[in-house]
Formats: sequence, C-alpha cells, structure tokens
Amino acid sequence: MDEELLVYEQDEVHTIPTSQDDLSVSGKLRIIEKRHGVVIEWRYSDDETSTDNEWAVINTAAVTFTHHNVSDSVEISSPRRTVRPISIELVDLRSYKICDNHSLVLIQRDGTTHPALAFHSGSVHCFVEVLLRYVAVKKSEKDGDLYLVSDKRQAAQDQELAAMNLVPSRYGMAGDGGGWSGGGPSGQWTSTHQRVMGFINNLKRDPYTTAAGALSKFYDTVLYSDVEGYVRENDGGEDEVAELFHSLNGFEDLEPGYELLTKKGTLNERPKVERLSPLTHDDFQQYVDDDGRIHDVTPLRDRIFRGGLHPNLRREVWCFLLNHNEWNATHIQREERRRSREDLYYTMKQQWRTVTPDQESRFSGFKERRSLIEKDVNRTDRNHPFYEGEHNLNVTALHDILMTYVMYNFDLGYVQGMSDLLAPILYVTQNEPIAFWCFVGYMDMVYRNFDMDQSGMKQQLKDMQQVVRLVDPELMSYLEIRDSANFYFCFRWLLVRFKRELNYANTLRLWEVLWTGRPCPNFHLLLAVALLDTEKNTIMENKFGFTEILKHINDISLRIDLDATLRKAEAIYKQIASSPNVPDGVRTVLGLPPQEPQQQHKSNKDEDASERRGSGSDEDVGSVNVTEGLGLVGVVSSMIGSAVRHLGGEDMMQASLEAVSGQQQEEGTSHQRRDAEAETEKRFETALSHQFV
Amino acid sequence: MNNSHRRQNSRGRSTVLKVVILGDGGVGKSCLMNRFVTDRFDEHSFHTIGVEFLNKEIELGGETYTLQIWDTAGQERFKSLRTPFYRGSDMCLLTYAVDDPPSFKNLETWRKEFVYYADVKADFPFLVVGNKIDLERRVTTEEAEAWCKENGDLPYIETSAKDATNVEASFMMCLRRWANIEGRQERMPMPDTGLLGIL
Ligand SMILES: Nc1nc2c(ncn2[C@@H]2O[C@H](COP(=O)(O)OP(=O)(O)OP(=O)(O)O)[C@@H](O)[C@H]2O)c(=O)[nH]1
Ligand SMILES: [Mg+2]
Repeated sequence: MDEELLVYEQDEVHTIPTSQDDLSVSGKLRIIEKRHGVVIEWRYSDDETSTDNEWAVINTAAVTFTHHNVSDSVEISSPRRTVRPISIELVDLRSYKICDNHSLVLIQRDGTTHPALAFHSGSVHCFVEVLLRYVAVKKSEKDGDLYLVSDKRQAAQDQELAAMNLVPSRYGMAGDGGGWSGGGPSGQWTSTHQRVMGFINNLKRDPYTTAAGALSKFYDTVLYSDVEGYVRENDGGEDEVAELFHSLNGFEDLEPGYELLTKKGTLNERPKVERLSPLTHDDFQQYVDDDGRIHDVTPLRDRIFRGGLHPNLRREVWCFLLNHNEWNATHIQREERRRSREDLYYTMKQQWRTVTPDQESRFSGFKERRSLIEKDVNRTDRNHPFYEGEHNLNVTALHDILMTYVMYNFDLGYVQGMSDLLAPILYVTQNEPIAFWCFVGYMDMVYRNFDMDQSGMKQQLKDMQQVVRLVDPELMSYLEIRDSANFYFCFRWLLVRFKRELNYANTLRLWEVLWTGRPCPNFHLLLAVALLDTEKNTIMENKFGFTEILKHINDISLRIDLDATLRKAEAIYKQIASSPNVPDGVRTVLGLPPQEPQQQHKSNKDEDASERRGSGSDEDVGSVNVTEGLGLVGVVSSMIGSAVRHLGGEDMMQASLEAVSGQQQEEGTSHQRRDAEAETEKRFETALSHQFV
Repeated sequence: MNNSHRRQNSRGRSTVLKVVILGDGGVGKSCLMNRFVTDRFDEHSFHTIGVEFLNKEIELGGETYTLQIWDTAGQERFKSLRTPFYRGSDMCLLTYAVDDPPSFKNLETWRKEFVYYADVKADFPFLVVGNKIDLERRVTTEEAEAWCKENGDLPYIETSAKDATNVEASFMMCLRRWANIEGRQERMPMPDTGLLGIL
C-alpha cells in the first residue's frame, strides 16, 4: 500500500447513461503506480461512504410505474443498474476509444469493454497524456475514435516481425531480389496468376500448413498489424495478392494458363435511411373505419416499421401485430373473439391447475417443465418495477401463462428464453389472457428458435454467415481466420431477439418494428449484421479472437444505439436489394426474387467450371473463380475460406463450433497448433483436393 | 503428453486455466461464478443464454493462475450449442442443488456429456459441488458422497452462493486437484526429480 504512487486523479468522471432513463454515476478516475505495475481505476465518488465497497446500486426512484393505467404510464426501463468500479492493469489495456472529444471507453485484451466515461471536469486528453508515459499509442486508421495501445514488449515484437521480413513492404519483397514493382497491366497479370498458382501448388503439396500457416501469418502480420498501414492505403487487389503470396511462398513451380477472376464491387452503395417518429393515437385512427375495421394494412405496417408506436398505442396495436386481433374485424367481432379466447385460455389454465401431485409424480415431462418455469420467472426482469419484489402478482401471471402455454403446445413445452419473450408482452398488455394469446402469436413467429435440435438457431447462424460474406467479405474472412465464423457470439441476440441487449423501452420499440415483417423476412439478421458492422473495427483492430469477441459482444449489451442500428440495418437491406449478383442463398434469406435469367446463366457456367475442377486433370487446377471476393482479403479468403469450410464436411457449423473449443488464448495462435491435428489434417487435405485438383 | 494447453495470459504472467461449470438449469452455476469473481449475489439475475465467461486470478503455491470460467445454459435443449466449448478444459465443476433431487440425479448425465465432448483422460480434475446449502436440503451429504465414491472417487464440496459458503474454497480445491494431477504427469518421465516442488 505504502508503495503506491498516485500519478493521476480526476473527479467528476461520469458513466454515460445508456438511455435517457438510466442515471449517470459520478466517480474518480485514477492512474496509480503499484508495486506490480500501473493500474487504471475508476470508482464512484461516494465509495467511501458506501457500506458496499464493490458495487453501486443505482435507484432511479423518480420514475414510478403507474399500475393499470397504461395510457398514462411512462416508458421505463430497468431502473436499477449496477455499476461496477473499473480496475485495469495497464498491461491488460488493449485499446481505448475517445468519442466527441470527451468520452472514454477502455477495452481490455481479453475483450472486456468497460462502460463509457464522460469527463465533466478536466479533460480526457490529460488522462491520455499521463497514459503516454507508460505505453505507446497508435491511432486506428479505420476508426477515428479508436486508439491501440502497445507496451514496450509489444513494440519490440513488432520490430522483430519487421526484421523477419514477413511483412511485404511497399517497395520490395522479402526474398525477392528484384522487387515486385508492377510494370504494365499484362505483366502484372501474368505475375499475379503465377504467384497464385505457386500458392496453390504449395497447397496441394502441404495443404494444411500452407493454408493455415500462411493465412494466419498473413492476417496477423499484414492486415491487422500495427506495423504497416500498407494494405489499407492500397486498393489494387491483384497487386496485393501477388505481393502477399510472393512474400509467403517460394513460388518455384509456376504453371502457365490459369486465370484469376476477381469481381469487384459486388454491392451498390449503401443508401442513407431516415426514420419517422412513433405512430400516435391520432395517426392510427386514420387507418380505422367507424366499425373498427382496418382495411389497408400495408401502409399501416409500413408506417409502424418506420417509427414504431407511441407507448399509449401499444396495448391496442400489439394485439394486431401478434395476431390476437384480426385487422379486418369490427369492434363487435373483436370483442366476441376476445371473449371466446379468454374462455379458452381459462379452460387450458384449469387443465394444469388441476393436475394433482400424485398425477404429477407419474408425469415427469410436466413436472420438469413446471420446475423450470418456476425457476425462470423468478429470474426474469425482476429489476423492472413491474416484476419487482416478493410475492409480485405479475410474476405469478408470467408463470401461469407459461404453464398454460405448455398445455397449449406440449410438444414445444417450455424452453429457456420464452420467459424473456413473454415478460414485455405482459407488461404492455397488462392482461393475462390477452398476453397469453399475443405470446402465442409471437411464438408462432419464432418457434424455430426453440427447436429440439436447435436447427432453427443453427440455420440463422448460417444465414448470418451468408449475409456477412456478401456485405462485408473482409469481416467474414477475419472471422474465419479467427475461428469465429460460427457466429456463435450472436446466439443470445437471436434467441430472444435482442431482449438482453436493450433496455425495456428499446426492446418494445424493436419488437414492434420486427413484427411488421418489413422490409423483408429475417430483418432481425440484418440488425445483427448492422451491429457487427458497428463493432467491426473494434474487433479487428484489437485482433480479437473468438473468446474476446464473445466477451466484447456480451459487454456491449445495453449500450446499443437502437435507432442508428435500425437505420443501418435497413440501409444494408436496400443496398443488397438494389445490387445485382446477390447470391441466391442470401436472396432466399431476405425474400428477394431470384436473379435475372442472364445472371443465372452466368452462375450456371460457374458451376460447370467447378464441376470440371472437381473431375478434371491437373491442367484444370488453376481456374480459381473468386466470385464473391473483393480485393485482397476476398481473394485469399475465398481460397482458404472454402478450404476451411470443408473442414467439417457437411456440417460446417458443428465443425467450426468444435474448433472454437480447441482454440488458444494468445493472439496469433492458429490452426496449426490445434488438437486432433491428424484427423483434421486428413479431412482438410481431402477437402482441398476436391477443391483444387 | 499433456492434455491441457499451458496458455499464458496476454501479459505472460500467469497460466490460464479453463474451468467449465456444468449442471441443471437453476442449480446456481452463474451465481457461483459471480460470487467467486465479483463476490456478489444477485438473487434475481437472469438465467444464462448461450455462453458467458469471466476471468479471475487466483494464487496457489506462489504461482498466479487465471481461471477462465465458462458458464453455459443448463437446459437439455441447448446441448449442441454448449458442448463445443468443453474441449480444452482444464477442470470441471459438476454442480447440483441440494434442494433439488433431480439435479442430483442428473450429475451422471452431465459427467458423461462432459467426458464425451471434452475428450479428456480418465484422470481429470472434476469437482462435485452441492450448492444452496442455505436452503432446506433434499439430498443428503452421505448420498452425494456415496455417488462421488462410486464415480471414480471424485472430490465433493457443499456451497452456498447466497451466503458465500465455500465458494472460493471450491475453486481452490479444484485448482489443487488440477495441480496434483499435472504434477503426477509431469513427473512421469523423470520419476525422482520431485518436479512438483519446482512447478
Ligand atoms: N438460496 C440460494 N439460492 C441460490 C443459490 N445459488 C443460486 N440460487 C438461486 O437459484 C436460482 C438459479 O441460479 P442461477 O445461478 O441463475 O442458476 P444457473 O445454474 O446458472 O441456471 P441456468 O443459467 O438456467 O443454467 C437463482 O434464482 C438464485 O437466486 C444459493 O446458494 N442459495
Ligand atoms: Mg446461469
């Protein structure tokens, strides 16, 4: 203790609320030299007075819930948020972000991403100045807000790498006396395909080592290293591939006659998208006739998609969106339906309520579900005022609805995640039978999330893959190399439709938008793609591997800008929809019509080519058709990516999920060092020989 | 052959060990992890979706280890998305709740599932944990110990994440067992050098 030296201290550094209903917490930011190293700490200011030294529990008592008066109730989100103090050993600091010159996000090497801090007095730059005494900092070239930290050891490593000539310099190549300078277009072309062929030959000879080794080297030292910004500044794809391949391989055996096909700019520009304010009660009335009918649902859905619903309209309109009410029914018909469905609900509720303990003892399927539901409703949104406190009747209602759903759909039963989907619905509808039927409507949309074999979830993760490969091949390649192409870190997002990532107000907003079915099926996947797009630079420039990505993604929950993400997701949709050459797989996912006949013809030809590759002689080897790739990364990744994809044979997802567990902690460790090498290698080789020979 | 990869953490100062906590939904896996890592107990924390992990440094015999604790969802349904994370584990906590007999009965299934997917040797550092001892118990200590004995003489400990009983002790106990097994294996090629002391 006595050996600690306080080198920096700043009061009034606040956590930034994640939405208007969170409170910001004031604290002290410090940099302390301790015996074992330098530590950055942030602690809330009343730490000393608090009985609890570790955490602060923030009560936003000002916001109260008005029970049974939905139309007047304010939108509220989790009013209690626990704020953890921050303590980071400097050696663990990977990077930081500074936004708008005054907020600071600290990111650790293991992916831990701390809440944003705002300097209400002093300046973030003073903090950085002190920090610079201990570490070297480099501004990210892609993300203006991101700063990458490296210590002396790291800097030395970088130098070592440079000295090993692993990194192709802009002007001359390692191991290439003459240097590769380009020359005329034809000369360039020849060299390019020769170099590609050299690489392919190496792949044939020693596929595993060549592919995995070269690629991991490539990714670690070239693309995402701090050593050179060279790739980013240079857009000419072929040049780079040639340089790259040349730097990594010998290229002794050059075979003539192969062409490298690259297709650039697969997608059109991403357009700008604006959203509207929420639909109000008065707006809504314009869609309803005197009898209560809504004739033209299309523009109404469009409108709700564009802006969501005003909170006081939710209770009514959710019943339509979730198929409890029929759009084209009169007030009277609706009331009849409500009544009969209410009766039906209570009938089913009676069914499980009258199961005796004796019956239950021979009804294990029922008993298991009951016990899990009991456990889960006790753990669902209990920090929300609506579900807070002991003996809360709303928690009982949650339980009863889920039990009744078990009777309604015993085959599906109760699966974890369902209570998350129900809780907001009960909160909005405030009526047990109505909430039940709305929940039924929601489950009808997402029941595949709860498949016994989880095939619905796996399919969505695969769909993510397809879309990301199209929208951002660079990110996709990165994820493949980092054993993260299984998109497993999106699992929670998708299973409960971002419920755990957003506060209540935003969850309600997002869900009503998704329920409109606009602008396309599976729009929630585009939302996930948009979120990844936002996190891309942080992930890639910090060189996060699977575990770090998982941690980072878990940590950014409740810090998502929903409006911006919705805009981006829609923009991505428009971008895809307006572009030619969108693969049929993606078209199916997003409900786009099949490709124009002309393009279809072309893709048939591609298939022919690959068939020839599959059966042909050595001469056919090099027709490497890199259709989806873009530039450097795309070219390399399509080759290696397809090899990697074959790793798992038919079920790639499972294989890559398995691969996750074998992966190692450190940066830069890759395929070579994994377990079960022998078998994998064999499969890999087989896959490659199918691919290229 | 050493099964566990001796990963160093990012700053090369301590060995990273992967710990997997398994057991039925609701037995208190997440609560145990959070109690251990942050010394907090939140009665109403969410059930786990997907997989999460937390790191915690712990010292044993003058060496610092970083335990990377993996916590997954307990429901059978999510098995296929949980098992890929077993590989590369260094130790495993098999957890049940003493007020929940079915969760005790399922220990067998959990152990099998882990052994199958983690692909570990017979001599693997398992620890059986009976959680929630602050509640009225419906599984006796004797029953639990008998099960442990039958299943390869597994070590057993009882905990309460709620009142913090034995939580740190259980991770410590597991780490010790890991170190013992490691030590035995490291010694094998050179039986009489007493490597354990050097480690
Ligand atoms: N009384 C008591 N309750 C506990 C203890 N540990 C956990 N609980 C409660 O048991 C419930 C389940 O705990 P979790 O940690 O969420 O259970 P889990 O094993 O992670 O469950 P899943 O995430 O669904 O797999 C929670 O409501 C806790 O409050 C304990 O030691 N004593
Ligand atoms: Mg849990």
